[in-house]
This record gives sequence, structure tokens and C-alpha cells, in this order.
Amino acid sequence: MKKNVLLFLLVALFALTAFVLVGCGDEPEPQPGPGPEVEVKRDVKVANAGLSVVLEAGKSVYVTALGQADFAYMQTIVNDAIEGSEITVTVDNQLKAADLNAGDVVISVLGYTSKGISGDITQTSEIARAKALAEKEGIILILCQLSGKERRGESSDPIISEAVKGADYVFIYDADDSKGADYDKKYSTEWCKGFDKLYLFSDEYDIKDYIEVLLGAN
Amino acid sequence: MKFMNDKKIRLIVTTCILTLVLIIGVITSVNFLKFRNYNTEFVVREDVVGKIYKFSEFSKHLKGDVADSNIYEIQGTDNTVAIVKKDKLANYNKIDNIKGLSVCGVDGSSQYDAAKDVFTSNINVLATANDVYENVKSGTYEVGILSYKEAITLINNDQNENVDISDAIVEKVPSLLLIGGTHPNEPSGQLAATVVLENAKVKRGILYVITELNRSAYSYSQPQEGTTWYYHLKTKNGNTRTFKYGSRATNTVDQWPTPDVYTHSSGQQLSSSEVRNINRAYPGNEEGTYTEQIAWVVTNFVNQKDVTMVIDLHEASPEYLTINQCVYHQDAADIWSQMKINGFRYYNPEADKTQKLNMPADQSPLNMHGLTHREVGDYTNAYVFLFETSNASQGKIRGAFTEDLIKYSAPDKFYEALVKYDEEHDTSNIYGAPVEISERVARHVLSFESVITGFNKIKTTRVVTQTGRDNVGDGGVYVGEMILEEGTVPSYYDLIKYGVGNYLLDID
Ligand SMILES: [Zn+2]
Repeated sequence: MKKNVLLFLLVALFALTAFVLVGCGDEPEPQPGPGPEVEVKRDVKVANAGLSVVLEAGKSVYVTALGQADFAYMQTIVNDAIEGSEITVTVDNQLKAADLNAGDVVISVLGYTSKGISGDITQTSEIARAKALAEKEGIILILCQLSGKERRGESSDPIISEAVKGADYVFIYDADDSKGADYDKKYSTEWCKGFDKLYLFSDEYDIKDYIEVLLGAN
Repeated sequence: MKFMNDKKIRLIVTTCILTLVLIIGVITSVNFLKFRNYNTEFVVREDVVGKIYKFSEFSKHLKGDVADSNIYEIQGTDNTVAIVKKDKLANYNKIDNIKGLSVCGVDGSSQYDAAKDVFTSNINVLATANDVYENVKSGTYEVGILSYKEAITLINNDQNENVDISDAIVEKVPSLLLIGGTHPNEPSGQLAATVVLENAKVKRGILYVITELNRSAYSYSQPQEGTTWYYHLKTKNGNTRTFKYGSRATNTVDQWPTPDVYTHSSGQQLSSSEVRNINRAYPGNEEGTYTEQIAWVVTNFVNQKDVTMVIDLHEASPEYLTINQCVYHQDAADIWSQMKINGFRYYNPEADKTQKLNMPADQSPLNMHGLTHREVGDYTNAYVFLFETSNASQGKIRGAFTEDLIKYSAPDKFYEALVKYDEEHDTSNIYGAPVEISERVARHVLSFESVITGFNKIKTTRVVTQTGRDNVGDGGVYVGEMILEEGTVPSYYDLIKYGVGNYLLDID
């Protein structure tokens, strides 16, 4: 009996000490430094966007989705962008980084479907794909968010935040009614901080013109 | 002094209580019965709505029953039709049956041009529509080719009425079935369908409207929610229109018992209450449960009429994730893209510019069965869309249930508090803040127009890629544009500015 009481007291003391230590270890949050100030580029005419062709001869173009929302619409936008050109694209909503070669262009739509993705696709597997694509050496990663606030949040954000780390271009829908994808300024002040290839669009279909230039399809 | 013993007192008290219970029982029963039998009125413009089909024509056991609702047909005034003598209607009901007959049409009309491609015999050219009508009437020609408007005007003006429009399809035009009243506790769907029914005029194509899909679910109120039974809207002239706030599911009076587990025809298992949910009963079954019999009306009608587009209008609670958005069948993805590019636009006179309504979408999950956007897409050749708006009266966070809550004509303090909380804490307890009924209706009406806008970029019937049937690869026929008469359907801006009641007609 005595032994048990002693054991309990010991455990309690240990737990308390650990708790206090962890509590003390909490340093004040580092204040975000000034960092390079980048002006938010909203509705910039494609001619003034300073874009040049990223697609080299012999390299492939892929269209994929990270989060599975707006995949069909993304395909339409890319198809419209390459219309009349010789470019062909490979469409694969489960595109793997391992299948890509240096110089390949990957256009991915962002946003987690609210209907729930089914089969063997999960949020975890999408985060892993996003990370792998972002870390893939030598590819050109173009990320597009075609829907606004409704494709942000706890389902979408963990995938987006991984993907943007390796992005070469980020094009997002952001209307002036505060329902856009950058409604909380996460894109402009956190994920893409200091990154000068973030472009905001009031009409997401204008992204087509940007893709057209980047692929040299015009 | 004890002139009444305990026994007597007990007897009197018991009798009083029982009488009270009986009175309450009778009053509530009468009210319930009144509600069940109350028929919501919809204004049918005689010069516009050419035909009204009964549900029982497409699902026979519903005949004369509470669920035997209407499908209203609005033909495009420019549609090409064939007129024949009335006694020949039954024989001349298919294009193959009239191809070789003697035909006449009006010189230079677009209908004449359309018919030229179909008829094997030469079309005899006459000067006017009246000439065509008279020649068919006299028997000189067996078939007359006219525009729908010409035909219906001449038929209506003729006292003898021995000529009528044949069911034979001379020119394939796009058609759209707009479904309201799937869930009677989601008022914006029914109201949007009613606004379209009472205002739209069609130039080309055929518009079908259902305002009460599940009339059985309109026959009782949502149990245990303390809902208001009726809500009212004022028309432009200040008259009152009354609508019912019903339940989500078929009345247990019409479908009983309820199994512990609902097994859909696909094998999918759902909770018992879903067995009476029409949007889990598709494709439906003429010999199935009451709810399946109603669902079968849609599938069967769409197949029989070869409907090009189907739109199912819904609402959901503000805290439901799939809100203020569309869900479409995968074969409608191209139209959806065209809707995003060209649709959801409305003119805002205050800003003097065209604005675009933000409208996200999801593709219908392949393994979620029983819903319109899955099964009607799989079992018919139609492009299928479902839209949701934000309805506070369906929510769980709401305060007292009032007419104001249904219409959200006055703010609900609990929802307002939660909206504020979300704003301050960057949370998403609510996905679409509760909004007034006019905005919800306006959103649905603009979505309806946007489906047409999207389709008109494609102009072809569907290429079926996946179906519950064996006709994979069907479709893809050019049918041209569907055209509404300009200005007949109220705009998003006007519906909000002037209110939905302004676009409801007066009941005579
Ligand atoms: Zn619903």
C-alpha cells in the first residue's frame, strides 16, 4: 500500500515537473520580421506581367489536381490556353513526382473538394503528393486556385501550404468581395511571402492568358 | 364533511384530462388534415404553358394520389412543329410515321428549312401560316409545318379545333427540366422554379418545370422541429401568395413501415430515414416504394422526352459544407467549365458594370448513390446539375422557428452571433451565412440561366461516358441553342432589389 502511494506521488511529481518545464519552454512567438516587401499583383494584364516561355522543346506538360476540386475546369482553361498550338498535355489527377523529368511543366489546381474525395485518395496522400511535387528538382510547377474561400480551410490549407513551397508561379482567384482565395491574406503574407510570382485574379479565367504565355502557345 | 370521496374526485379529474386531450387531439388532427390537403397554387399562363403532364403518366401507381404532381411544359415559340388532323394524332405521333406524307410549309421560314432535312417527300410551299393551317384542315395536305407560336395561335383561334400539334419531333431542340420542391423544407428551390414557371418565355427549346416534386413531403411538417406551416409573400400588386413549409421526406402516411437500414437499389446502405428521401431514391422504380415511384417520374420523363438538361434545386443549413455551390454529373463537366467562363454574370446598375457571382462546384462522387446528380446522370442522357443555397430554417443553431426565419427577413440572433464569431476567430462554423429568401431564389434563377449559357457553348447533347445502363457512348447530337425570350426571367440584381414576391403572379 505504502509503495503504491509513493509511486503515485512520484508519477505526479514527474508530471508536474514536465508540465512546468514545457510551460517555461514556451518562448514568446517571434514577431514576423519586415522581410522583402512584395506588392500584391492583382489583375495585371498579361502583357505587363513580365512572363516568358518556360516550356522547352521536348519537355512535357502535365495537368493535375492537389485536393481534387475544380479539376475539370482546370483542364478547360489549359485546353483553351493551348488551342491552336502544337502542345499536348497529359492529364492525371494522381500525377506522381517520380514520373517527371527536369524541365517538365506541371500545372496543378489547388483546393480540397467539399464532397469528399473517394477511393484511395486521402488528404494525407494529397499532402504527400504536394510535398513530392514541390521538392522535385528541375520541374516548373504552376499552381492555380480557381475557387475562393470555400476551397480554403482545414481540408485545403495543409495541401496548399506544402505545394507553394516549390511553386514557380501561383495564380489564384481572389475577388474583391472578400470571398476570394486570399481572403485572410495567407497567400500574400504567409505562404508566398517574398515570392514575386503570386498573381491574383478577379476572374479566374484570365489565368488562361498567363498559361498561354508560359507555355509559348500564343 | 366529506360529500365527495377521493374516488369521485379522481374520476372527475380523469374525465377532465381525457376531454382536454380529446379536444387537443381533434383540433390538431383537423389542422394536420387541413395542411395535408392544402394545395399550393401556381399561376399557369395559358398562352405560354402549352401542356401539363401528370406524374402518373410516368409512374402509374401515383394516379390520383397526393404525389400526383405536375410537369409544366413551355415550348419555344420558334420551335418547328407538325400540325395534323386531330383524328390522326395517335397515328402521326412519331416522325417516322409522318415522313412520307404530303407536307406543306411556309416559304422562307426557318421551320421550313428545319423540316427539309427530315421529310423524304417534297414540302409544298405556301404563302402564309394560315394557308398551311387551312390546307391541313381541309385535308389537302396531311402535315403542316409551322412554328409553335403560329400553330398554337391558329389552333386556339379555330372554333372547330379539328387540327392539333403532333408529338412527332420535326426538329430536335434542347430541353431543360427544372426541378423545385424536392425537399419541401428548402423553400428557395420551389420559389425559383415558380418564378421561372410564372415569368419565363422560351424562344427556342423546351422548358419543363416541376414546382412540387415530392407532394407527399409537402403534406406534413418536419417532425419535432416546431416549424411554421405556411409562409407568405406579397406580389407586386400587394396580394398575398401562400406557400407550404413541408418536410424533407415522404409522409409516413404514404410510406410505412420504415426499415432499420435503407438499402438503395445499388446496394448502398443508408440510415432508415433516407428511405423516404427522394434524393436518395433515384433512379427510382415504378414498382418500388412510394418515394421510388416519385423518383421514377423524373428518370422516366427525362428518358421519354429525351431531356437535354436537368437542374435540381436545393437548400441546406448554413453550417453544411456543400453550400452556395453546384454539384454536377461528370458528363456535364464541359458545360460546367463554360458556365464558369460565361455564366453567373449579372448587370449591377448601381456599379454600372457586369458582375460575376462566385459559384464553386464539385463533381458528383461516383460511389454516392441515389442522388439526382449521380443516378439521373447515369440512367438518362441528360446533363445533370444540383444547386444549394443557404437556409437558416434548416439549421441547428437557429432560434425560434418563425416565418421570418424561413425567409430570413429578420436576422436570427444565434446565427448572427456565429457569423460574427467566425469573422473574429477565423473559423468556419458557417459556410454560407444565412441570407434573405430573395437572394437564395436569385442565386438559383441565375444558376438556371447559367446552365443554359454553358450549354449554348456546346450545343450538343451529351456523350455518355458512364452510365448505369448499357448505352455507353450515346449522344453527342447537335441541337443548337436553347434561347429564353430576353428579359422574361428576372435578373439576379432585380430579384434581390425588388424581392421575389414582385415576380410572383396574382392568383385570380
Ligand atoms: Zn435538399
